[in-house]
Amino acid sequence: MKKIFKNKKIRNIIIMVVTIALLMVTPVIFTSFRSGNYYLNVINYVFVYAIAATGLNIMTGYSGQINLGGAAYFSVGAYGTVILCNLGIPTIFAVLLAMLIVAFFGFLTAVPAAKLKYHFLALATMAVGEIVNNILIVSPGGITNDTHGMFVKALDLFGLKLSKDSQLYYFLLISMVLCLLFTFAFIKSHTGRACIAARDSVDAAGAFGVDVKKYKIIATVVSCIMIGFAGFLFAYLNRYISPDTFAAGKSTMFMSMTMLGGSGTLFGPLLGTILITIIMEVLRGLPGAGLYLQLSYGLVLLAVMMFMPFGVSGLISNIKTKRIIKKKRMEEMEKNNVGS
Amino acid sequence: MDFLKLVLQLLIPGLCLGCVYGLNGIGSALLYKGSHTINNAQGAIVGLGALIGYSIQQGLKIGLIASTAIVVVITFFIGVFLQVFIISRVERRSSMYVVIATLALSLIISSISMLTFGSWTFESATIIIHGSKYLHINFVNVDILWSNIIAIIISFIAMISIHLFLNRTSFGMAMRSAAMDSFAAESCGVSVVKTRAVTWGIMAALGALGGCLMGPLFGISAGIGIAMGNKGNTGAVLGGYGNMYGAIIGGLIIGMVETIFGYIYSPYQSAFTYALFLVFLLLLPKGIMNEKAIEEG
Amino acid sequence: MRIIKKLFVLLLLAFVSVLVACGSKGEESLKIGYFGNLPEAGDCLVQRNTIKLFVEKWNKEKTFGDVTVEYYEYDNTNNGAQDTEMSIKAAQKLINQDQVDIIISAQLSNIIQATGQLINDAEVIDIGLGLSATWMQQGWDYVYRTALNNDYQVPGMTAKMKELNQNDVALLYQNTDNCLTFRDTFKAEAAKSGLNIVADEMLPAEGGTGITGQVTKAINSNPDCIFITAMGGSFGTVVKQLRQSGYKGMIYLGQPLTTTEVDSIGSEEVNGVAMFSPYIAYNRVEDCKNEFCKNVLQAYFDKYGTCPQTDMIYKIWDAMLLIENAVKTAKSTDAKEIQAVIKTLKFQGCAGTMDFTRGSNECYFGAQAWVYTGQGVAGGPTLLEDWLKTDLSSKVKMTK
Repeated sequence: MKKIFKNKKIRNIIIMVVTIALLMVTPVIFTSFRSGNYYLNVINYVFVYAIAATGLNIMTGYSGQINLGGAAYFSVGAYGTVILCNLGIPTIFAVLLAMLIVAFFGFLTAVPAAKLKYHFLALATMAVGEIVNNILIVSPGGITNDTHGMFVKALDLFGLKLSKDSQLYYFLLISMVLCLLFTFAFIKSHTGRACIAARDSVDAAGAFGVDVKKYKIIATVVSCIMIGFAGFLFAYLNRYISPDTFAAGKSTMFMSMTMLGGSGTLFGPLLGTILITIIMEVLRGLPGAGLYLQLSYGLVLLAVMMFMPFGVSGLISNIKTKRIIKKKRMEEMEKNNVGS
Repeated sequence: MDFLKLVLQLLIPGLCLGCVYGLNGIGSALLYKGSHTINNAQGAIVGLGALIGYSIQQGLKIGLIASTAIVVVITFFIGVFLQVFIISRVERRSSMYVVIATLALSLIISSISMLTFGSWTFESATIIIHGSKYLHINFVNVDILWSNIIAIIISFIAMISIHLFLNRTSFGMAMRSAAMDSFAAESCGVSVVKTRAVTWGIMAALGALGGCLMGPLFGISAGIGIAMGNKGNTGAVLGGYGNMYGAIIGGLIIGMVETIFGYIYSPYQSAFTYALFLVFLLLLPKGIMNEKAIEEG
Repeated sequence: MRIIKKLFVLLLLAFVSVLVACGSKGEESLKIGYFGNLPEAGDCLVQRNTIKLFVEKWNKEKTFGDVTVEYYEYDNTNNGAQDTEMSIKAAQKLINQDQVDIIISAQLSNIIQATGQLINDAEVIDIGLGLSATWMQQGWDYVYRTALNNDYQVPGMTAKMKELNQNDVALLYQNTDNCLTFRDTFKAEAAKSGLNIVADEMLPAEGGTGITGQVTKAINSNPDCIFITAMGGSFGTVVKQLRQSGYKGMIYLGQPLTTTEVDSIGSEEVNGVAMFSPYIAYNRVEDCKNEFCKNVLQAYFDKYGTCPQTDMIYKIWDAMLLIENAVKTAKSTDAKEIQAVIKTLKFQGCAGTMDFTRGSNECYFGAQAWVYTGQGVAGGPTLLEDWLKTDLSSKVKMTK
């Protein structure tokens, strides 16, 4: 028995199987008691936001462009699908169509954005966010139902109605895993590597024949589509959408999730989302802390920015590197000792 | 004549609003020039400053101008404090971190001001000169609020003093040199640490000055500054980021455009204003004062 | 592989924390939940204070016998403003984790709208304090209102305008759920009674500075009177600017001014600002002429040392009275049983009889007209009828 556990491969496989099994039975266990429902709901939100943050990470982390208007694409994805679904289009086509709209919208902003310097891009994306929010509030023909908000019907996938958190859980989990896999494939692909090269050095990438502008646009559009997809999931999870949910605060939240976990890493955004959710839930649960929820959230964020330069992923890899360096040094010292 | 009256009715408040945006813009322009970052906490600082000003006014029973002077001093030190203890630690890494750190600061400061002063909107007393609130212009038969005029005058005084400070004093020169090339400046004996701290101080003080001046016109609340900070930044870009005079012009444009759009078609007021900004950014990427917004290569 | 290990640890942690979090539950108690803007010192503070006041009183006086009352509250703000998504989370937590019997939603109508379905499906009583007609039209059985629906507020207002011969109305509105509904109702009523809308301008959200253009346009449209509907606490500035820009006529409000605003706008400016509501806030307790409301204000003042700034105090007080009466009548803390008895209730509230027997989940059906008089003018806000008889009204231009 001990031997089996010592074998790294087998141990890893066991952990993997157990993790997958745990992920699979989570809703069953959580719904078995009433207050578990709440935590299941929280986990579902984590999936949605993790997708949005992963999407944003492609633009900010891998392509080095800041985006303070993430909520704009998020809201286009959400409102787009809901409005199209209300017109009677089957969900799957509505989603595809909405993603096309998001992509087009992303392209519209990406072309000029690829030219802009960092800070101007920050302000330009912020302006896009403000404009889209204004249009949601006063929509032409009232298609977004303005500030009254829209109720969202249960998600209907090929006649399969997903209305409960436990049913949505699997759908959201699969979506998130697919998005992570897609991101992984993207950064390993030729395009992804070109994006990273352009981020690290515009001049060097240019010298190797990388069309910097083109790859920036690609990264932005891909990123927007993923954020839009998260928006669609959000609409069906929240079951109610109104413009105040898609205000500037949401863009900031996506940015902080990405930064907190570590931008430019595959699992950073997921980790950041989980951490922010845990912080918020713990603070919400503490009696009397509700008063200081926003304040403490700001303090935690600030502390991370001050003391953890590369987010949590950075912190973890930092500790690892230090440990390796320490180990190497010890070995060297031992060698020296033996020598003398 | 009616048209002229309307123009005056819209222009003076627009100009006044523009001056306040301009004051905020100067701060962001100086900051950008000095350390290539943007400050998202500006709005929260403006709100805090305005609230402190109102409390001083009520507590000590002094006028708007005296209380504003005290607030300017207080917020200057708040700005310096923020830079020295917080921003300077983050700044070393990347400007992306400053963006998020200032957003966090914005949350913290606005929570604090809400917890201390409450969330009510307070109205500062209107400025009265010669027993009247208005300056009457016989020519077009229009009344203009003294509050507006005083705000415009004080803003211009502040702008001119900043100009003189940067151009005529040795510390101002040092600030400009540090902004131009911090490494070279440091080797000539300029303390970049000090100049950066003072930049933040000036930025906070100018913002709070604007917030206080707006008190009699738009009321004071913890959220009052958010729009001002954002629009100040926007105005600064419009004028050519990093150029102080451009920031003033940009702020004035944003203030007037916003007021005029409010008159023309109010539902899309903010969309129009930001769209105009985007159009400017794309068609005139160097801003009005020819500063570069486009990445090389 | 590393990340899967991390995930594994996180999952285990989550399981443990959830199991710890749902420890002992199940004593016989009445649980009241609340979500709102907790850091705010405005209307939400008044709501929380009043709820706490009642909960303390109930537990002390053993109003419900051996049943103890517990109170849970959560913040629903995101970046300083109340947010629908955070409210939905707070409601989820109240329903599933704390398993409350009654939820009191804060005053914003869009938030009641967003959380109503959820709370109704969970069969928990929801008492909303908003004014908008929208969330009452959804047909939710468990959602109640102790404030006045603006459907009942507007007809009195348009009738009064007609009576005073104010035919041209300029409209200023903020784009929130409540204000939009208000505006639509007002437009419909105005069309019915033959009033002209001469200007219809949108104001920026709270904290926005771009109001000069709208104010100028409203005045230049040469109206007889102006109607403003905006979120409470954010439009005192608009009133002030209207007056400062030389507007001398009457201003009708959809939502009340706070007493701070009334004071700081100035008594001269605030004269002629009318408000249609069953009740109104006062600077001092002794200004209040209604005995019932006076007692309410006195009780609040004795406990917290201040007078509430808006009429929110009456709305939340009525909500607490509803809970008290319903639980007493039902002799149970079960939401279903409470819900069953509410439609038989009829009792004295801040604005007269609270009548739930009409079956519409509402209790008030009419408003009075008030005029603000500002500080220094004796007695605080007065009834419009009385005001018209005084010489204060002669300072205001009734028509253009």
